[in-house]
Amino acid sequence: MNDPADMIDAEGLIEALVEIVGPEWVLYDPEETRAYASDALSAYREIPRVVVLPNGEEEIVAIVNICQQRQIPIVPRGAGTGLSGGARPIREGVVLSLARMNRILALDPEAAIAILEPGVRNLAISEAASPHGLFYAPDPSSQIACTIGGNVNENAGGVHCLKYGLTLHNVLQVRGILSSGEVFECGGQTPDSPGLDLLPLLIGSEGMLMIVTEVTVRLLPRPTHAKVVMASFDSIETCAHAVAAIISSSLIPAGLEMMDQAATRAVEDYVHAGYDCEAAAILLVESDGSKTEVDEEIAEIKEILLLNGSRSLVVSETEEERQRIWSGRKNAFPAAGRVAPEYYCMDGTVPRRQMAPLLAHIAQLEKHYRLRCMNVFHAGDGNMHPLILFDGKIMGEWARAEAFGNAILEKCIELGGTVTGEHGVGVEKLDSLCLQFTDAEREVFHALKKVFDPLRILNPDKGIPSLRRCVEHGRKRVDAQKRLPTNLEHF
Amino acid sequence: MDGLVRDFTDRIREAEAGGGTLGIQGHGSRSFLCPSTAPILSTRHYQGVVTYEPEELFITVRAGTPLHELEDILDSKGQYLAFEPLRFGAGGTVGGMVAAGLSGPRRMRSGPIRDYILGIRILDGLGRELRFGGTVIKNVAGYDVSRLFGGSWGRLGLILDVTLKVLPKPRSSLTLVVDIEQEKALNWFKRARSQPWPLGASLFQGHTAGQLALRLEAGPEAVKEAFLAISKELPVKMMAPEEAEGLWRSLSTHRHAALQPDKEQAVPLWRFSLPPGVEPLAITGELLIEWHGGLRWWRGLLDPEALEALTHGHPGGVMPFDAHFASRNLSGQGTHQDKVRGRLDDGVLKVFDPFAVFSSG
Repeated sequence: MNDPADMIDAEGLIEALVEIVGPEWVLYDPEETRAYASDALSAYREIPRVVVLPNGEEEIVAIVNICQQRQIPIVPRGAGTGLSGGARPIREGVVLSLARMNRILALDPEAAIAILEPGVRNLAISEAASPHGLFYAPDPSSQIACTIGGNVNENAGGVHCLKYGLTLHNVLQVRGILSSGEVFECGGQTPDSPGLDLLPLLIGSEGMLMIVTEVTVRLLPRPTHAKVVMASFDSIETCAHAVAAIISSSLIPAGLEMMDQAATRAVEDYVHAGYDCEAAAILLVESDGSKTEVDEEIAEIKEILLLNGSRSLVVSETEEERQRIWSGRKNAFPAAGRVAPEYYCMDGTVPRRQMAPLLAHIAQLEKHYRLRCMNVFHAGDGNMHPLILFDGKIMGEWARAEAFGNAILEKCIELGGTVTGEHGVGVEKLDSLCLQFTDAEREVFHALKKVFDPLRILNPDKGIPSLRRCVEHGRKRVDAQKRLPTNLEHF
Repeated sequence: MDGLVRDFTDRIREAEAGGGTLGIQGHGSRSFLCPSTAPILSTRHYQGVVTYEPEELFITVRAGTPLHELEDILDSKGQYLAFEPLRFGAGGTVGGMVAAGLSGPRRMRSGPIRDYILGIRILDGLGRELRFGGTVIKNVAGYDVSRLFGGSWGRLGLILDVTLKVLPKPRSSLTLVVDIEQEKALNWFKRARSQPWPLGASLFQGHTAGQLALRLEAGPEAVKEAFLAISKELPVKMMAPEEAEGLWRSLSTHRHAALQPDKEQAVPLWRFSLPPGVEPLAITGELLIEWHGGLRWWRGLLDPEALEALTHGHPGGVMPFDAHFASRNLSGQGTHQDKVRGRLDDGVLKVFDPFAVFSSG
């Protein structure tokens, strides 16, 4: 903003945006735009030049055309609950918030589909579908706030995706605006759509390929019954082994979550879920379906757990009890926020059999970086969420937390996994991606982006690291401290 | 196997340098849908399992592995390919299955083949070896390129090996049959979609009236429960297990009598991929309806006007199942957005195959 030319351009831009959406939906006063400075990964912040809140596809087309002419980057934003900085603004750019576009356009129980604007909240879909005996399956822990547009862009998961799949598996069609200002529809209500199947490219593309304006999802019959088993284990290894035993039986549990002792203790102090805090780890295994189906599965799950070293187990007998047991897992993140001023949530995924080795490695890293870490994870799919606890006000702690996180992700790659299971790359994991892919593979990613967004105005510099960045950062992996901006704000 | 990969790479580079083309082929069991005049690059000797870890629910196999061998290996561990791939007769390779992307009877319950692709290793049109995805179910690092290869008909590159998500086989299966009018059957599905029944597959065969078969798959108690619930709505009877297996097999192998070519091959077999809720089509003659209404097979002659009336606003999903099937499918012809779609598809093809080595199929 120091450059006067910037200021003039900014003025012209704001005027043009006001013309499209009206003055109340264009924010440029830093007092107002500050609220958009980060997503839920607040360590990465930038106050945007302007925030615009369109209401409708036509307004988005007009905004895209203006930005395209002026080569101004656009950062699309849903509810801002992302955990990788994908919605972090670009200083000279426009934040395009889809929050106002929150209508459910259609809900057809006979076809079991819903057509949604991008700003519809995840939970609102299931709430609307509920009277018809249907629900929308992906349930990221932020489901009360996060939006379907954001879910599509991150390929959001949740605790039930082992059985019901990720966003990708539950979205039939996506409509959006390309950076050319053209409308593009991908997928459809027909089981097969002609052309290349581009939908998997768009889902999880972190706002880098197009601006999503409409999403058609499939709805599933809502299970009439559900029960959860809580099992305690004396060691992480036994617990991980029990997970493998369940998976290699013929069962696909609706949920399969693991928490280590640091996590159960923090959570128990906070919500009193009734967890066994003496256990080295606990496992939550859920079955859902009809009553008969649930009873059949729960009996089998109990047997497997006891045969595989569970020292005690509890089965929820009432819905209230089930909710209480889950409340602990669902409140793991806020519980971490209570035991430390801040926490840094990782999202690596490893093959299930590597969970115990990874946890052992994390325990060593805790000593090395002199920071505590609690571990909660979606054990059913090997997706781990280590929560590194730190205090940003103490000099050097955030840098250590970041280096700790990077070390975990490197280990995930080494163990045959991936640096991000469901939170996305955003700005946070750009350097880790240098390790996961070769130059040629990253070239393919950049070339794909160019097909959809030749001007590179849609969320540029996120998601895929430039070749230069990998050369500069990728070779020396432990220079995280050097990358740390000195004036970093926290929460 | 490395020697074979080197051969593949050499042939691709040779073709690329000399402006030549290549047609990738496994067993050629699907080539009636995508005939090619290009020199053939055969993957049939590039076979075998790279990694199989049943408790991790994935298998990595080389593209030339016969599909039935893969299925036997999974079966020995009580697992299966949940999407019940469509194959043609006894042959067919894993690479061909992925490249064709054609799902079988369980499509509506399981989702399409691409949902089960976790990772892929390819040689692109420049002969570069590239890997995308991995072995884990959740993975959002980089764009989801591996799934793009499902239904790409070999145009994007040569699949070397693919990692597929596998699942435990259902513990029990029961097929129910009932004589019913087509309209009533289609209406019944509309209600069934919100019921928690483990409906693994369905088939209506007949004209305006015919027989509806429903396959229930879950634990034995849950199957029994669904059977009792459905019995209250439809006068269903149980089909003998061997007979049921034969019926579903005739669909997944495309050998059902109604799908066989006519003697003169003059009348095309039409494949209607439509929103499942579309009412009975205004056509006469025998029809097979799978996927709870989402897939309809019919043999007959249609003029363009009649065709348009039958597509119900979804022109892209209706086409003859013949030698032009793959190219028609890939061109995206008939969709409402030919221009944008065509530009993006072309762009994506060029990313992987800039010199059109594989573009002739």
